[in-house]
Amino acid sequence: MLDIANLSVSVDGKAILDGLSLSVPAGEVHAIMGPNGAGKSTLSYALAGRNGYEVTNGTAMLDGHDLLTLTPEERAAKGLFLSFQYPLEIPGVPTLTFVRTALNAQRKARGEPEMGAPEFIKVARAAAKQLSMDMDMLKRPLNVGFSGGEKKRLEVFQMLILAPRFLILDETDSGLDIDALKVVSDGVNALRAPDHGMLVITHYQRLLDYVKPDRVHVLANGAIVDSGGPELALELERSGYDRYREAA
Amino acid sequence: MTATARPHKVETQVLETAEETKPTPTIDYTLGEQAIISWLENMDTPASVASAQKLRAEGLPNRRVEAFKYADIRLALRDEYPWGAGEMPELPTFLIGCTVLRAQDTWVALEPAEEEGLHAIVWPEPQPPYHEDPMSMLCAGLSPATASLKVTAPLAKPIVLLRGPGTSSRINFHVVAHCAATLVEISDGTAGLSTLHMEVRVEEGGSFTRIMLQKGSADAINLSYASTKLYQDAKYSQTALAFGSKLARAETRVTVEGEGGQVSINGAYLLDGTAHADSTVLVEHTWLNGTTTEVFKGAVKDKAHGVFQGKIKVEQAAQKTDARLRHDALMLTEGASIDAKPELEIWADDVACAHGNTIGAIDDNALFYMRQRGIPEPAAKAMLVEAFIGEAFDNVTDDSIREWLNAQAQGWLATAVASGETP
Repeated sequence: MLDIANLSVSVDGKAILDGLSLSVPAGEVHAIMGPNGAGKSTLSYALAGRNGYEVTNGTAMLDGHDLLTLTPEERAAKGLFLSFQYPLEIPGVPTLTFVRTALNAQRKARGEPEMGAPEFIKVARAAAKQLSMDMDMLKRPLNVGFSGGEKKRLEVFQMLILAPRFLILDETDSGLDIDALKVVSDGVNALRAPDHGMLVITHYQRLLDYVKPDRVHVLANGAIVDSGGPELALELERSGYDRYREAA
Repeated sequence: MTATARPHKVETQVLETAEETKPTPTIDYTLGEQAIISWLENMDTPASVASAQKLRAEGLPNRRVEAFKYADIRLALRDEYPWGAGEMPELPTFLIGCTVLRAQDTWVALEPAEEEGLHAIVWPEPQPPYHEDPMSMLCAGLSPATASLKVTAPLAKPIVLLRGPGTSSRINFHVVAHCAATLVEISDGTAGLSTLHMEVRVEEGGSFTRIMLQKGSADAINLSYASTKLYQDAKYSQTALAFGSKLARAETRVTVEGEGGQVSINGAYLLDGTAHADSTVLVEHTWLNGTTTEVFKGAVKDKAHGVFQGKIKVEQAAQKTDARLRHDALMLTEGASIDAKPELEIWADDVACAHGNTIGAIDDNALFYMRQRGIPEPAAKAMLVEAFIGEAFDNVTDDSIREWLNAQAQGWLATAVASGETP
């Protein structure tokens, strides 16, 4: 599904990722853990195609499509969804308008018919119900004046509607209390499917109690330095990342 | 029109000033100036003669005059008398059935001639200009006739003013106490000079709402001057959307002459190509407890030039005035320019006044976020600009008018931004 080989990425001329390789087969959830500054967010931005994240070497393929040659919106249409650590506020754009525009832009890019307003409202209502969200909140401008937890919930709301094939969660647990974490995790888990994949980027093990990974990788100094099963996350929680820093 | 000016406010009658003006023959008149002066002299009305004398003495307003630093009318009218060309703007379908003021060459036709609550449409003798102000004198001078409209009821439907190329209109509105009117003004032109001189008087508890849509091609020049007096608890609300032209200057003056007068003046400009649009606003508070809010939003690209000059003056007697003024603009491409001059002049000590001004680019983070969700870059930019300028239409209470303005903005965004044409 997602195959990253020997990926090197620079930001402002400074090498952040250095020959990172990683494969996430369809149906699996992989976690990426690592100390601050290891390049976790750089990996997610580079995969999503953000300006300023210059790929200097390597490849990243999603279902055989070379992501690195595509614009961010084309990657989204291929089913890549990056859940932001800090979702952006978009004043003046009602949330539902935004999500419907995004959905129909993706469908158009894939050659699918656009979804009309009545059907969209039905889909939006179902997603809001699943996340215990008020529809009135979705008429407000996207993320404007929302709490950290509400913003994360809105990220999951968008995921449920856009139904991405591959999900990258970037520190989605940050700023969430335990109740919000449960709601968000339930939403994410609902997207698990045999033909879907997920990359969960997190500093702490906490989220992985709710979104159980198949594999755990340690990212340090711009590359994957260790991989293992779910038990690796627990071990890191106990022992920290020091040994990887020393190893590097 | 005789404004019952309060004793301490003395209106300058321009005829007197004109007599005092010493001709300064050193001006090297442009072809355009010569043509306009002889046109004004030929019309031979008090206003046109006064205007001609002022032009002989000072020439057309130009960049050497502070107030016209960013709107050089002399330069724009350099070559010869700019006779108008192009079609009159059409009446939008949602306004069919409204009273229409249709600008003709130098007068205004009214269709139909009567509406309940809209009275005393008279064509008085030619009048002198109202203010000794370059825009007032020029626009009044070019209009030998004046349409005077008296509003004696809260009018249910808007009045529409259609201004086409090559027209000069002079219109006075008198809104009687506790009555209300909305004017929707649409101007367009392919080429040539089009002017408007408007005076509005809103009596106690009355309300006047002005909606302006300005379009024009790269050869059209649009000058509009509007001066309003507000009495006790009267309201003036203005919302403009400008797409600019060779030179487009909309000058709005409001004097709050009674306690509790409320002013809301908003505007948006969306400019591409070589378009120029200048919004110049002066609000003067002379009495207690008045409020003014101004929200201007703009977006410019290519070689376009946006200008905002907004001044709020609070006189010593105008205690408890609340005045807020904002201008925010986006540069969509390099090469465009914006000149903004927000000013507060406050002589009272117990007031709440604020002004702000920002000029920036589209937020890259927001753009990336939207693209990550699948919205193509041009469409994402168009959404962000639409949302950005939308605040300027917040003071429009009529939903159909606000939707119409939004649709006009969307039309521009669809071709100038969302089409993805790279600068």
